[in-house]
Amino acid sequence: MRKTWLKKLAAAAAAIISCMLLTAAVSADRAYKGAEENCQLYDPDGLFEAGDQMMLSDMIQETSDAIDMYVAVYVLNNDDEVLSDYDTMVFADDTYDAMFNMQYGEESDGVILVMNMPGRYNYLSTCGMAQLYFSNAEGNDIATKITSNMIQDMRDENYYGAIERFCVDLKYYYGQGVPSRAYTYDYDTGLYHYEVNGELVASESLPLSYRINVPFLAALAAAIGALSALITVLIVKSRYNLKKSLDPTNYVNQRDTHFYQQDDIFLREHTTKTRNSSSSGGGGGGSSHSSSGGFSHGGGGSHW
Amino acid sequence: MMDALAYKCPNCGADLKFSAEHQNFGCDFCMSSFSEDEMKQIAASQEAMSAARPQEEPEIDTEFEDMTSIYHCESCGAEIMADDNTAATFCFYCHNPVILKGRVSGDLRPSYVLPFQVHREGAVDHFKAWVKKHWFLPSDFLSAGQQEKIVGLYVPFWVTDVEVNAEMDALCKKYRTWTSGDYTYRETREFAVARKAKIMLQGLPADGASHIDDDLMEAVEPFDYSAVKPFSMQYLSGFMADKYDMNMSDMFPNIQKRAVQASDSLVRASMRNYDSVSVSRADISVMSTKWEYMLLPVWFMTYKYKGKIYEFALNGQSAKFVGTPPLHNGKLALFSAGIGLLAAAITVAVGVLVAL
Repeated sequence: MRKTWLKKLAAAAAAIISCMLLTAAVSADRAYKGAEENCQLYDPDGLFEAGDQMMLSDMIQETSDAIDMYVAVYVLNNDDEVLSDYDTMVFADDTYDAMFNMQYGEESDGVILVMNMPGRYNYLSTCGMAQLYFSNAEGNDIATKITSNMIQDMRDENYYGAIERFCVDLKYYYGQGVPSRAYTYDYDTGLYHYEVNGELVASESLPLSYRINVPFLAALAAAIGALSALITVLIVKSRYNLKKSLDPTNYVNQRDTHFYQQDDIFLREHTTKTRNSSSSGGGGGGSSHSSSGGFSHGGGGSHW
Repeated sequence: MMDALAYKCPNCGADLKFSAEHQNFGCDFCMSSFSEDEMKQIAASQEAMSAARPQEEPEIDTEFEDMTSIYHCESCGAEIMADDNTAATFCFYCHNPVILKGRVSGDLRPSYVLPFQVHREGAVDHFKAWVKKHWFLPSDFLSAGQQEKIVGLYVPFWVTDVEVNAEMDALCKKYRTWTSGDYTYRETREFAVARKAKIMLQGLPADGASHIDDDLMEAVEPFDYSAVKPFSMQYLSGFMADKYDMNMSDMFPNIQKRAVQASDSLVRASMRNYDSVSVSRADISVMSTKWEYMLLPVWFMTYKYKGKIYEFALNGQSAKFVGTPPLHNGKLALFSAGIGLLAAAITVAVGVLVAL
């Protein structure tokens, strides 16, 4: 029943967007140019006043221009319909697809932030190259960092400020570029996504340069080589020194040597215990999944 | 003039020398050989003849009188100077062996001598084998010129039996570790350990010649004293020998240091079954010593490389070769670079294999 409701919601969103697209000029070579007008704030439940809505939409549009990707923010504020975290993710993916992918049949580069007010949960869904720019890789989870940065504003009920911060973070992390050797693995399709000459490429396996951190391996090889050379020098030099004199214990006459006192008196005993710490491994690429529309999405979210 | 001795072959009159290879006395001229007992008879008669000869007044050179003596070579009549510590040498003119009687008599007479058991050719062979094991020597190290510089020398040693009393108190611990559930447990048991021992060291040597490197002589140990002979001058024939210039009291600190070191190691070894030993008291003292003065055989070689003198020694009994060889830095650098490159290549190969 919940899935049916979600589909209805996504369909409604798509309808809204489709109306807006009726008069829009569509460019055949880049999907981005056709859906740019969808880059705005969606606040069907009226969290923001009209004036703030316009200003935020302008801000979102400006951010979209700055990062050359689609950006949208969707606010869910109906206390009668509280989505779980998972459902928020599904809603975000499907809504993005409806806004930016469906009409072109191919993945576009962009993000959508869904602010689940009743669930106190913000979720950022990424698509296309945005999966790499705003990666959710373990150890460098940018998507979750972006939503985490909004927590304080959300708690202070400064929702305008939260979206402002969101836009600033998008531009900041876009400016950092795609992290070196960033990739994402879609568990649903079994495909790896990585960047080749600025384009997102899907493949069943990662290229060697992604599997090996070449600068790290080169540095490690140089360090091991230098250490080996140094150890060799030290060993040879030690062999070229005068041999140590004979251990004088060789001159002990064991027959005439006697221990006339050997006392080993037990004093005390104590036992200590320490808790074993568990370590978790980390590293590697980001993860993605397929939406109901069949497009690959990454992302992350935070509660406030 | 210092009284010099040279033992002559009764058959042909040439000089007799001790043969380390055959452990007897031989004549290089007529190839005669004489056992130890035969040599004693020859030596006794020749020493008697020498004693009967009128003694010349010693010539004293005021400039060198404290450091050198002049001897008269019985083979060629040459007058040669020898420094104060030389007991046996070769005439620099006719190269015949000469023994300076006064340097090995009276208080300077050794109790024992350990005859050479490695002859000169054997010393050279050991030297060559040793060189082959060292890849980074200068290329010209194994030249005939170097072989000429090998000298067989009887080194004056003080060989000491030492009685030591050692007392040691320590706090010792034993550990036991195990894991149960999410916890690691460590049990510590502490013991008060006391040890008292009477330790006997036998045959602890220290070279009594100040001009010979002590570290080199310690490195060339050990000597098997079961092969020593009561001292007789004929064993020195064909080799060089020095007398001691450091007496027992001079050598005592060295002997004491090694005896204490040995005793300390022995007592600590008795606590080896503990995981941790913390010594709170150690009292190790030498109770008594018994000294013997011996001449022990060592082959010496010196090598000069880039202005630095390198000394080598070979135990004249066991053929143990020691010394600090010169290091060709260029060869070492190339070799080390090769090892480094190989290690780097293996690292890259392993990294690629793991990634694949």
